[in-house]
Amino acid sequence: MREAYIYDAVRTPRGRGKPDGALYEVPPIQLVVQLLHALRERNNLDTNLVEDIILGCLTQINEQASDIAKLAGQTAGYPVNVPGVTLDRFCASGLESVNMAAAYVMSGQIDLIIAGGVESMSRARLGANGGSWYTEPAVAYPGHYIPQGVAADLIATLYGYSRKDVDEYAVLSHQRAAAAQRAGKYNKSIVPVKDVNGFTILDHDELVRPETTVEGLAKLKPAFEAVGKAGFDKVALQRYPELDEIHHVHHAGNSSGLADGAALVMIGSAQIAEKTGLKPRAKIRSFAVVGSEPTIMLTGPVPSSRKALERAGLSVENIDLFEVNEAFAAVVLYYMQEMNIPIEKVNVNGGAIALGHPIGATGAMTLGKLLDELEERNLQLGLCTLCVGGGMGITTIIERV
Amino acid sequence: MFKYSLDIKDQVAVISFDHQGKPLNYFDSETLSLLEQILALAINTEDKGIILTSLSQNAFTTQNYEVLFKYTKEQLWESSKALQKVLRKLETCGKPVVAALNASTLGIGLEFALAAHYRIAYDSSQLQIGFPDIQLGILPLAGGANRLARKIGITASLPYLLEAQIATAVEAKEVGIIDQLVPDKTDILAAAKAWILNQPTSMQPWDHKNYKIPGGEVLSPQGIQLFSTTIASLRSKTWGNNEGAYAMLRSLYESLQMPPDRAFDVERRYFIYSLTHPNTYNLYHSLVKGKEKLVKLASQYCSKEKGSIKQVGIIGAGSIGASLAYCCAKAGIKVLLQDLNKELSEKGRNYTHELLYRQLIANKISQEKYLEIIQRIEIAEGYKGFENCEIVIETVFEEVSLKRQILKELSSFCSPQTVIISNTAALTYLELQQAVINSQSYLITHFFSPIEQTTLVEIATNDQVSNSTLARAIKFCQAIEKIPLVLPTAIPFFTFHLLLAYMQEGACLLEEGFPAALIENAAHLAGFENGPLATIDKFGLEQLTSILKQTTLNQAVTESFNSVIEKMYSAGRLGKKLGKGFYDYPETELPKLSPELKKLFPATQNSSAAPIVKQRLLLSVVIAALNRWNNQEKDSLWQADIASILGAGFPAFTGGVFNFVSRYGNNYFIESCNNLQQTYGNRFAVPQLFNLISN
Ligand SMILES: CC(C)(COP(=O)(O)OP(=O)(O)OC[C@H]1O[C@@H](n2cnc3c(N)ncnc32)[C@H](O)[C@@H]1OP(=O)(O)O)[C@@H](O)C(=O)NCCC(=O)NCCS
Repeated sequence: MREAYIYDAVRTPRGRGKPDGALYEVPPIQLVVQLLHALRERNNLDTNLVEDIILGCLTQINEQASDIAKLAGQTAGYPVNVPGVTLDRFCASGLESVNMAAAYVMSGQIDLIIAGGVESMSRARLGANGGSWYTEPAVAYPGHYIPQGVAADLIATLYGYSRKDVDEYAVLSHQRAAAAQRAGKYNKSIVPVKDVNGFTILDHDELVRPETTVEGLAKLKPAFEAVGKAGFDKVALQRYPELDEIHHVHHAGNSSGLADGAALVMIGSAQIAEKTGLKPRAKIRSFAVVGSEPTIMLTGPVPSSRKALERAGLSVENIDLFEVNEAFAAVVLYYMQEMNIPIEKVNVNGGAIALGHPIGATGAMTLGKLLDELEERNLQLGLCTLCVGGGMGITTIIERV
Repeated sequence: MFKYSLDIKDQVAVISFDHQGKPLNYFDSETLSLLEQILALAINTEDKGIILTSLSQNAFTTQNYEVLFKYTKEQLWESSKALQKVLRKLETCGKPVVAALNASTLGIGLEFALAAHYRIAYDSSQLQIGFPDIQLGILPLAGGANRLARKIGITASLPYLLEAQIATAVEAKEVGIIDQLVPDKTDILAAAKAWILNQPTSMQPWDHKNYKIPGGEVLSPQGIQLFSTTIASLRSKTWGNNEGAYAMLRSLYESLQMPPDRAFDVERRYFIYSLTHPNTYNLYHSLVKGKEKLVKLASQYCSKEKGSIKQVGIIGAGSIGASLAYCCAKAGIKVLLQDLNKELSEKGRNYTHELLYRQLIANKISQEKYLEIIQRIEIAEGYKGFENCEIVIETVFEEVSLKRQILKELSSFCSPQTVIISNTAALTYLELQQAVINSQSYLITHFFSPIEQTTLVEIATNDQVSNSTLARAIKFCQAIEKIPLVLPTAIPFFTFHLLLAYMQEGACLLEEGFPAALIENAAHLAGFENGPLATIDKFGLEQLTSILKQTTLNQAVTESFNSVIEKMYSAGRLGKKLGKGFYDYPETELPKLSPELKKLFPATQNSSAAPIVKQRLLLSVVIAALNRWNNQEKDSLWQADIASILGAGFPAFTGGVFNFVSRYGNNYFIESCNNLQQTYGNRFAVPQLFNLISN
């Protein structure tokens, strides 16, 4: 089997995913187009060599519908022979596209491919595309569907994470993200979003709140208590009958924020380096995606990581840095507990609690962030994992070359 | 069955439904073709419009479901299609059709009414409208659910379609099921005619080109939100045990996305699915047929008993006494209520006060009615006035010596004709009977608390008791709308044995390290209304230990049960009455399992244990039933089934304790018992009576 190499990774800054966010005025395809331009320019890329564009995107309605990946390549001025495909694996979409791209390269069917994701949550509201998942009785009723926030509260209840535990973790995320911003650690990947005149609309992640404190967070009301009380708590208890109630500990300050953004990763074979003189930055060691219990939904990173580690012939101790998507604080606490890894190795530059979680893009963004930090610290092995709606987990392990 | 007549002056056809006291079968081809002919007559002549009305007093028209259980799925599909066609033809015939609702319009009756273009009823709280059979898992069968949802909107229709809510005429007008109310029954036909004469043609809203479901389509943002939360609330309320409501919700989601004709087909698919589901059969045969048979049986006992019960004396104004006083007063019976002191008696009467007051505020009763009922309850001083009562019931604390003392006093005070009753769950008949002077006019009942919310009462007699005593006791039960189950000397009561086994198993599980929440939740998942620990709380430890002191029961009690009771005693958690037991009972919030339990009973098992907990709870009750049902006749088993459901909270959809065994099969039962016996002891041994039910 051939190796799949990462040649570059870029991303937009993350805007607040609401009508008061900076990127609200930017149609999602523009985010991708500007990144495609950036890839071309940063790498002096012969775009004729690009054999496909794969983008993850959750809410594929309106302007995010109709295969936005194909349209983005075309709009960015890539040659007509460049196709595109858009996929949806919920929160894993951005990393799934990277893994699929890697699989194309490894299997020898493609030599150069661009993978990533896009999501404008300010313009395509979370949930606006519907789905039998939670609306169709024949699916949701036997499936014991509960919303993600309640599922996160369920994890906290089952494993005994108090409100203080999750809030302390959230504060850490903000502190780390703010420190990384101050140190300019994100600048390597960030491509500022510009308007038609070339004016910068946003050049940094705008959700980070360096002033966040445990005391401040303590004032926030649980975000998922009302919906839990409306019936979903009881649904959760029917799957986890050893509990007598769900403790609602998650809120706006310790959940991932709604965000806008896009990210791209350029992946290719060794031949591409020979052909173009591009220098690979890392190789993809292994990846895995698994299904997990759908009601609690967000515990999948553990089994997917174990599977990816096994496939790579590595153990947890071999991994230098972890990126565990901060969909909700309890997800990360659970992961660290189950995998038995120190907090010093996890999300060292903050995560989605501070930065936001533009669903379809996050996986690709996080992988780029991991690679940047491995280079920064001159470390070798990194693991990137995300929990996924509906009960899945996804993991990718990379190694610097 | 159906009559056609023509109003010659106004050229309006009147089709009258007449079921002559017996439910019709609309799936029968003869019935249906008669209906078709009459409709054709009305549609094809020069009539200006059609009025549907009923010749029956009690119901517009009804469907006999029992016969339908004999149909194959294919037969149901064909017959329901024929019926659906008739209704569709009615609403698309081009002539205005009015339903003149002069009687309660339920089930199939409402389906006909909804296929009309306009519905007129008279202003009465007696006139009921709805789909009650959904409680049994029987869905509307000819497009009725679709028509209701399309008429009043999905949100407004859900209580009627999922929870069998019944509307009065006024409520039905408010939500839009009824279009017009007239003051009196006799005004309906004139109003119907008037509407037709102003209405040259007519069309259903859903047949208009730009029709939209009021309040939002299924896949509108409102619809998506509605279905998502309704799915959760349905599961949360029913613990996933209501197949009928689940099928209804599926049917609505799928069919309401389509035009009517296709939608009605989908609705029929779900009707057939749910009608042929074993749960539906079980529910029908226990809750409808079983009840009917029990009522009939009771009537046989008291067919000769003349005279009604006018005045009842109640001693003990605790939860049973208070609730009994309420039921009597509500049924028009005067009550003399007595407890240790006036304060306690007043507290008992206050119960009725509170219940009535709530009804008054909710406009369910009038001010006059409220006063009338409350004035029927009088606080007695000593036994004064008890000599004038036809029946005296003592409901005091479950303790033999206390009860004996009261019985002694009572029977010397009351006249020999007065029927004296002890209410008890489990005290020994003979010991109590010996305390009364006149043993032929004494018997024992077992009412369930709160009485106004239950339907069953167990009655025990022995051969010393006279027929007229039993007859009068049964008359009394009927007067307060309870269904009596008469058991010869079966003391402790049959259902108490089941409850005891259930509570005991719950306690054992707790002692073995299963978390309290798991025990209670698994009970709900299995279909029990109350968890075993909540049931212990309801009895209260004092009452329970007093009962268990009796030697007959003492042997049945396991060490674990005793140990749990002891621990709870020393923690001062005696039950609901005192505000804390396994649960905490805060005044303003819902009861919650006490956090203290985690210390008293450290948990060692997790959620993967739920199936075994469910099985142990269910089988412990079934085995108790097999051990205690002392009637060896096979034809008596249905009584045990219904008693287990109504008296011991056994899941109704199983059809009762014995039906449960037949449903899962003898082998499953024997195998499960053997496995449980090996691990948990002889209380899970296959009982003797099993041979009777197994062949
Ligand atoms: C949790 C969630 C519902 C919160 O949404 P929201 O209420 O719109 O969030 P907001 O950003 O408006 O924040 C709410 C409040 O918290 C405050 N807040 C948020 N973060 C804070 C912080 N770090 N410190 C102090 N206050 C904070 C905000 O200032 C705001 O206060 P205000 O109401 O006084 O203005 C939403 O972010 C969410 O759904 N996240 C999860 C998304 C998801 O499910 N992703 C998929 C994962 S699998």
